[in-house]
Amino acid sequence: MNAPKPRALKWGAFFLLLFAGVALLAPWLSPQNPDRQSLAERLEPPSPLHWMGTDELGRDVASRMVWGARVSLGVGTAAVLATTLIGVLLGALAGAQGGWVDALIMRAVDIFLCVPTLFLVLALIVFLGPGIENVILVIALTGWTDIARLVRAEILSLREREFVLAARTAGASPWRLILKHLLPNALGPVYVSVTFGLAGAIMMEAGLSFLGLGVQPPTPSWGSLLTSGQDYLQTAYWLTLFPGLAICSSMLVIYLFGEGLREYFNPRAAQR
Amino acid sequence: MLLRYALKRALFSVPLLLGITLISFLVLHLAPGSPVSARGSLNPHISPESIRELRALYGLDKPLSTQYWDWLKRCAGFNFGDSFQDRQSVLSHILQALPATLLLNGVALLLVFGLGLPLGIFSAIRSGSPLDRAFTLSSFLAFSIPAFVLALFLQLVFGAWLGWFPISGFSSPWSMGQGWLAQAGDVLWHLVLPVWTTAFGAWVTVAQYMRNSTLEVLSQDYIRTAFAKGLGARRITLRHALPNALLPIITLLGLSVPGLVGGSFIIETIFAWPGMGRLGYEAAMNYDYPLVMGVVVMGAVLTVFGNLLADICYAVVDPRVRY
Repeated sequence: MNAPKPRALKWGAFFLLLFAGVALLAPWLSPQNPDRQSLAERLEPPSPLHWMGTDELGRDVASRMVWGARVSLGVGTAAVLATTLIGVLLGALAGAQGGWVDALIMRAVDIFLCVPTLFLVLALIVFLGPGIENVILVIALTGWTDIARLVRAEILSLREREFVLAARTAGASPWRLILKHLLPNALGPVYVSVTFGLAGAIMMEAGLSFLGLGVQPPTPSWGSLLTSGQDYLQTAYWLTLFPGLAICSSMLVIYLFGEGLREYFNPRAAQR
Repeated sequence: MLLRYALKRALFSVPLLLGITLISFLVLHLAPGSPVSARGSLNPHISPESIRELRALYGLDKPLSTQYWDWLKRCAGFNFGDSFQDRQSVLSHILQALPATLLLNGVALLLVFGLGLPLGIFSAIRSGSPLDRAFTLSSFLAFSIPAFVLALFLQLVFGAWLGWFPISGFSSPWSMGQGWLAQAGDVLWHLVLPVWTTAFGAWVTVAQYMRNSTLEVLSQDYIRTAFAKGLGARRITLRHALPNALLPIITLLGLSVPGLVGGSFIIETIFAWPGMGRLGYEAAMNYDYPLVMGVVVMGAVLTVFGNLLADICYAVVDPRVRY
């Protein structure tokens, strides 16, 4: 048996704040202007001056990485907040109301689950056009089903409990019942799911931008940096290595934090 | 009883499939841009009359509801129409792309379950051992690497640096006209990096699934009873625990059916693998409506079918679910 480790939560939170700090402080941390081109210095390997090298237009990769953190983490956060809002609202509505409202929402969830997410994301991006706002919107529109199902299940199990019955007897309106009595008690697992959703959203943004369907140049994001990495795979490893590592390490940190949260909310299940 | 359960589940999937095709159809046709404007942009002198003629040629001048109904009627006879790009039938396009995807994902699936199941079981039996800890740690690392990043890293290390495996494509030009053994070997050689990329994430998921499921079963009363009877640990694991621990894996297998045929367009695009994922992606980028719809229907049917199959298998081996 592994002993429960509150360390996961602590270290996860520490590194998460570190990443957020880099993103927020990009203007001060960035060694150079991320958009300054210098064709004389194109595709230079890492050196003391450009310590992650330069790209095909002679831009400083380290600076673009720091600014890219802002875009990648920002888009991921905004998307996951929107996802959560939609998911919690619809899930709570389905669970608390039951009847045809529940049936309608859950059939919609079923349909979303059957269309491959990636196809839906692509179709919507083609529909809306690329760009930061649309990436956020598309991730939110396609990602809400997991949270909706989770919240609904939590609420269904809470609905029959005595404290809810008591509130209902006391004449609480349906909305008051949802917002004051059901939701606060259903949120524990939601926090965990939101954390993993953040990882998914960052991954999705990176994937879309990598394909040229997400954040548009010259705005740097970790995913779009990888695109030029693939073009110069044979000659300029630093264009692939550093953005790739940034994506992976941010994922790792978020998973660590999520795992810590899970242990915090459900210590018994996490001990296994 | 079982037959009724199966029929009921099958009937449920019909409205689901209709819903999926309707949504896909609407999303495609309401998207800005159309096959006509894509053609038109190639020719700046195109006249309004020719645009109208083109739209009539593709049947795009009719109301959407009529177009959808026509498409559904044709589908009922397994006729998915012709590709807008080269007038080949959608079915022939799909049949051309299918073998590559089947090969890639079939090999990957074998690897995933062949490695994942034993590892999960060992990790559960030796829960808390260094091996188990190493597995938990490495699964963390594995989940943190998105498939497309892994693909690029593999290309970088094994393709560009070490030069062991080809970076992309299905076969080398030199293998044309060689013996079939050389050709097969060449394809296998091209298969290595895409297969590892495909298998990597799923492999860990399966192992973890199996680990949790085995742990769950090992804590049951009947296992304790078996120990109390004085049976050996080996016999208990193989005869009493394993069959029950494998039950949830059926669902996992059912869920991997669509991936087997649908293909991942990201992996196929990065490795220039001529399969279904790339076909669908390129069709979407070219506004090739019939081809996209064909690929979508194929994927949706398989997803639903995979789930159905898993549910029915589950009902066969675990009668408790047939209520």
